[in-house]
Amino acid sequence: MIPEPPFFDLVAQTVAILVIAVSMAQNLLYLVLLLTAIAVMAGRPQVHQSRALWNGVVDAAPPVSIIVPAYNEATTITDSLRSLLALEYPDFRVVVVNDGSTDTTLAVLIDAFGLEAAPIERPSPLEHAPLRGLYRSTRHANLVVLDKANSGKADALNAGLGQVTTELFCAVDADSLLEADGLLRVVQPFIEDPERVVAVGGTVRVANGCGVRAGRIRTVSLPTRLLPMLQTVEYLRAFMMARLAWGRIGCLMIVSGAFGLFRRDVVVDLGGYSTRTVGEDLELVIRLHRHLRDSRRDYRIEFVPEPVCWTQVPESLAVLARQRQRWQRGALESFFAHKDMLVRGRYGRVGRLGLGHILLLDVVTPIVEVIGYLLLPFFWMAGTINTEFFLAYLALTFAFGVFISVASLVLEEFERRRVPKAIDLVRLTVAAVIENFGYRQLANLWRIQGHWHYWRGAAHWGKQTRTGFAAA
Amino acid sequence: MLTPGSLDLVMRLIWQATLVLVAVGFVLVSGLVLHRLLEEWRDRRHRPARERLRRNLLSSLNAPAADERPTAAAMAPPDRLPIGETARLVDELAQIVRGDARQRLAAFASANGVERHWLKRLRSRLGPYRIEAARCLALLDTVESRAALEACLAAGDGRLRLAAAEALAHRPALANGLAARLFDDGAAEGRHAARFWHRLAAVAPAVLLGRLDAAAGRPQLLCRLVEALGDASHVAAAGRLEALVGREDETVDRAVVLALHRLNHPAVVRVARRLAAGVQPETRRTALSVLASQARAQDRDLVQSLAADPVADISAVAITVLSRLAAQAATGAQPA
Repeated sequence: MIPEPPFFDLVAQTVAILVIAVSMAQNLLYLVLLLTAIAVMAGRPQVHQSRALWNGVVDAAPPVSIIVPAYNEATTITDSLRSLLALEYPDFRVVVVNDGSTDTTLAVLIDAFGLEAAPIERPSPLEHAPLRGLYRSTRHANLVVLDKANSGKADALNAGLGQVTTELFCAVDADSLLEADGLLRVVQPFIEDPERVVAVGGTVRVANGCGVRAGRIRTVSLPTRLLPMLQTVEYLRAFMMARLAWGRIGCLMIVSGAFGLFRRDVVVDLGGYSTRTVGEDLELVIRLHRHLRDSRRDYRIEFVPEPVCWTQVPESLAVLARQRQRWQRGALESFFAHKDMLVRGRYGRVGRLGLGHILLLDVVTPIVEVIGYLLLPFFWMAGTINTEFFLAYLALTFAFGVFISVASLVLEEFERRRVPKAIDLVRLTVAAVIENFGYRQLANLWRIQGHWHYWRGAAHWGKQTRTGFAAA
Repeated sequence: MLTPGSLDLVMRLIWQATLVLVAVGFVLVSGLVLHRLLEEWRDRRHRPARERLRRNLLSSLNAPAADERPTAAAMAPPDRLPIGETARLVDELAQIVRGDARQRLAAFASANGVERHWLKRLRSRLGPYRIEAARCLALLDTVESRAALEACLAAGDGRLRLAAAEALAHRPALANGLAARLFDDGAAEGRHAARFWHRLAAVAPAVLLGRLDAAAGRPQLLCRLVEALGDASHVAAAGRLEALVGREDETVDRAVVLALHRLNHPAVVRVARRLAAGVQPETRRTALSVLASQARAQDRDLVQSLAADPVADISAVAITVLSRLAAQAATGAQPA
């Protein structure tokens, strides 16, 4: 037998230890988040029924403007808007921003909601691409549509924000459906602590498979196809565990672009959404933290698990890959734009923990995990690392992921119970297992591609394909 | 080979601990699946009885004449239906019925064990259960429920005290006592207490008016009182509200101008003009939005000064108001 060169052994062992150490750090973080989420859920007051919530909140609920940026959303925009216009909330208006769609989005809107051109009355305090027109609905007094040249979601949100006069605004994706009492629930932290709360995020769930009629989710079902099913597990893990826990720790770094409520004056003072990143939702929240810490304000950014926004997730690998590459790029852009917060003492735990976890989970982990997939089986077969190391690697990379996903499911079932039937719980458990064998590795590969796009400086969103909502 | 004994032991512990965690996860999820199956079975079993009770209750509540309503025997919840199910149904209907129908629903709740169920919940050691029970008991006006809610006014949990106060607040006879009791309670100051003060203002606005002076130095509480009086359309309060401007911080001033706006009282223009020079941007913004809704030619200079405001969206709105005033002047139109 030819002895292996000691240098190769040393390199291989160092790589193995690095991979295991990073996986260990990642999994310990997940464990802490899981325990925190359990503690938060255990201490939360009972969730009110919608009607009781309405009777309780209606006197104190401040007016809210809902901004809906729309780019080529002709297939879903009508359902989404009907869902918004049917919201149970005492005083709200909807501002749709048609971001230069090249499909029939504007025509669909004009036809479906009886829009008529109206003058633009209010000069915007924010910079954005010029408005081409403003339309008011003849059927819904609280619906306004802005038409502007295409320049991205962040710019569209800024254009909408420029026409908003209410104290609070809610950013909602055009391909999402809000539950009727979603706004009532998400506004609660603003009612309870209006001086300190600046932003609140709600739960986003997968709408694929659900029955929709007149813009409302009528039947909640799990997706029938595997890819959306796997994403259902991912969304559960992200919202039921991670965001809930980060909210409690005071380091919530993202309020999902699909559904978030913000104080308008604070966001306008910051100059609105950044148009220099494709992760404008993440970047805005990091900038909010930075600004409010810089000005030494006592503030809260909250996550409330009850308000549910349903969204369509990609059903094809190609579209999902583009989405994940974009998310990864957005995370990197946001992290590197604010990386100094990581070490500066005045940002406290937001810098160390908030930015620190983005560094670990979004910057380092994808690269290290892919290195692990490629090299550790090879090192083990070559006899450079022993079986204990290899089993520990497999446990951390595959089995622990199963545990975290299953634990999120348990948390969801204990507290929210939105999984329709026992059989669906079984299906989700199966998905939570198989997600770790193939899908997770693929997702990491897309994240590496996102890294590549970031370092190469590519600037595109990628084509999104909408399939519309299924009829109930 | 990477085989120092201690490191190997750590690695072995990692994969063994992970496998244990995975096994625990599966056991838990299996238990939940079984629990869910049991619930689905119970739901199927109780559904016919629950739906029958719902139908009977609805037809009883919707029938204006007593002889059109189902008999008490027909209305009684089936024996097999757990009391929690009946209570949930009563609470659901309590959110939508008013007047005489509400009283009949309350009588049904008292006669069929729902009140007992809620009173038992009110004694639970779990805070959320107690708060929920206090909210539900607002439907009833029995001696027992009132005594139990009044006892909760001395509870250690501020949320429970507030929930009990809210449940009692629709009784005019109790308004004065409740206002006195909650007045010095920190739980009744924040926005979450708005509901309590609104309910009180709806039945006894004079009680709140009488407390305005005593609330001096407590801007949060003053805001709650001012908002409640504005929403209760208590026009007689306008003079007292106007007198508060400039006495406390600007949050109170803003609440006053908005309350006067809701009351549609002429004093609102006078107050808005004063607040247009506010220190906080939110105050100037509020004043401007009130002035903009009135759009009077004599406010042109004031709006002109706000057009130079350092806060971009205030100046932008002021410019729009100016252009509207200019258009009015050109056409000779008067504000609505």
